[in-house]
Amino acid sequence: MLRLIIRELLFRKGHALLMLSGLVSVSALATAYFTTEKAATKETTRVARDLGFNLRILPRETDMDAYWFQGFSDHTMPEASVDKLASADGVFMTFNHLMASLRQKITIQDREVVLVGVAPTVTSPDKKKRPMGFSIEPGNLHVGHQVGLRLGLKAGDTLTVSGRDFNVERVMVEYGTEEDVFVYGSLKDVQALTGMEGRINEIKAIDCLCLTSDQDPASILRAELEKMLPDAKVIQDRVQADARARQRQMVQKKFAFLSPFLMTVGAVWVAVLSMLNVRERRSEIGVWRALGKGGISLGGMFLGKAVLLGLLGGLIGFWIGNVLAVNVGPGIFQVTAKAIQTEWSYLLWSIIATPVLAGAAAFIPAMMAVVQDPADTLRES
Amino acid sequence: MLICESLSKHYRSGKGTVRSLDRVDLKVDRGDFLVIKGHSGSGKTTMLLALGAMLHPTEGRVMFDGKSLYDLPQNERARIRARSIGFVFQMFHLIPYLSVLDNALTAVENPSATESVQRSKSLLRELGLGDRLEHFPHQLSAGEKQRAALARAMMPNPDVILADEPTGNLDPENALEVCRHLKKFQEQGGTVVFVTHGDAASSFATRTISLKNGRLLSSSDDASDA
Repeated sequence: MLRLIIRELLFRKGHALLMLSGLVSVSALATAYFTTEKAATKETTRVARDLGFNLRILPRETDMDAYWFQGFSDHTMPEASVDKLASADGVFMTFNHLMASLRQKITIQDREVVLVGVAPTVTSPDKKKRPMGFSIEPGNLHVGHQVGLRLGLKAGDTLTVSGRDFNVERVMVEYGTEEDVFVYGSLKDVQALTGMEGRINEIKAIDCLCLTSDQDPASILRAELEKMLPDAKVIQDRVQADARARQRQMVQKKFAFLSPFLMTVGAVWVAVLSMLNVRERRSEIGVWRALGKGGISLGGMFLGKAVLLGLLGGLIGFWIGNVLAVNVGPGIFQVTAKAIQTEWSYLLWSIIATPVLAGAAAFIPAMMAVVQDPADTLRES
Repeated sequence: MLICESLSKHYRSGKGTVRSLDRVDLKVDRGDFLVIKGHSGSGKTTMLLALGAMLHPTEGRVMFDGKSLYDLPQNERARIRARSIGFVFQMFHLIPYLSVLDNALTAVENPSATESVQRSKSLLRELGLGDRLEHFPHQLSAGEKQRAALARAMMPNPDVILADEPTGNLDPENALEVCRHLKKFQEQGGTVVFVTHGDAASSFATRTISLKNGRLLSSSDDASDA
């Protein structure tokens, strides 16, 4: 049968090329689209991550009025709370990138600054994601822009805090937030400087919920935390969380619109051409019937043709789509240009999905060929 | 071998019911060269397709070697067509994308078998197409096309060949040649039912019948002897 299909394809080259071009177009557009979309998703994730932590886990008894006025909790919780939270069942389904910190006000050279001790960020062991935030080796400090400016500090200088000398590893750029008057150090150093060994007063995190607009994330987060860390409470930065969700949903909506559109156009194209093929081959179908060929053989000839072209279209389409995405994509999608790269997993998808699409679209025309009354066509011609 | 019992085929059209075949009784014996004559629209092709297990009659039945064809399941009828019945059409109906050799091989169950290929080549040489084996239908003359179609019909060594106006598109010389090949098939034990509106095949017939408006008019035996 394969031989017959190939002979027919070579004989009706124009028709075969039209059908192939449709399948190649669908596959190429899908490959190019999904490749750039994947890059956009990666970039969205990066941008969303760069927005920073959007959850603050605080000691339960924290007075929120005081917290918002001074920027940290007066109460503390054990440093082991992070490990307890990280080891709770399913925690990383809700919370991720857990960064423990201790914030206290101290005086450096007669001016108050916020000293922040940070511990290395804890992430899900299953997901190999780069941890958010930053870590600081003991003995080093990262100095906020305003503090650095006032004290005339630059990287490599020494800064004395509460009688102990530290290496200024970095003077941060101007963020235009309260972080400009922060001085970051390792959690252990800050605990020692403030006499609060083994204590923290905040865990920053990111929520992993992908909720729709009608769901209330805060209540879900609180309920989850209650089970895992009853001595703490969680505050969500709603503006930032909404921005993350909107960005993510925007990409998903684009995807949700374009993929059925591509599939429909491709399927209609193949179906119409297959129907034309069946019409053109009416007398041939009659002859095959007269020669004793059954419905399975006849249907197989038309479906087989579509599937074979789908396979070829999938291969060529992947190649063209990939070339388009990798070479033309960066010029069009400049924001995500660096993230666009060949996605080999789409090759498998392309050579599976395109024949399936072609076969499904050619199914009705193939059935038309099978049920066609051969006597009609032979009597007409 | 082939028996029609009160065979009728009616079609509905805008002008009412068309009786393409109207209670036809006919017996075709093994070794017959039966010519069915009639004008266009007389029901000849309908008759041939009904005899060939291709067209379900409205009434009556067709018996083939004792089996009522249209009481058999569809796949069984297809098997009978593949093994026992060869068709030849006025418009040749060769598969346009296959060579002459491959067209002939479409009629066998295992076209890649060596014996099938050898038989096909030998048959095509007998029919004067030895130098046309790899040619495609569009590269052949009308006479050559019909001989290729004849080879296809003969390939499975059928019991009967049903020929629908096989000389209708041929010049007298080629028409005669096709008739000679069919006659040879009949003389070697085959059966031929030859439908025509002309007289080209009359001299080869063992029996001639006429159809008019779907009804059998007359029957004459051994026309070739006359």
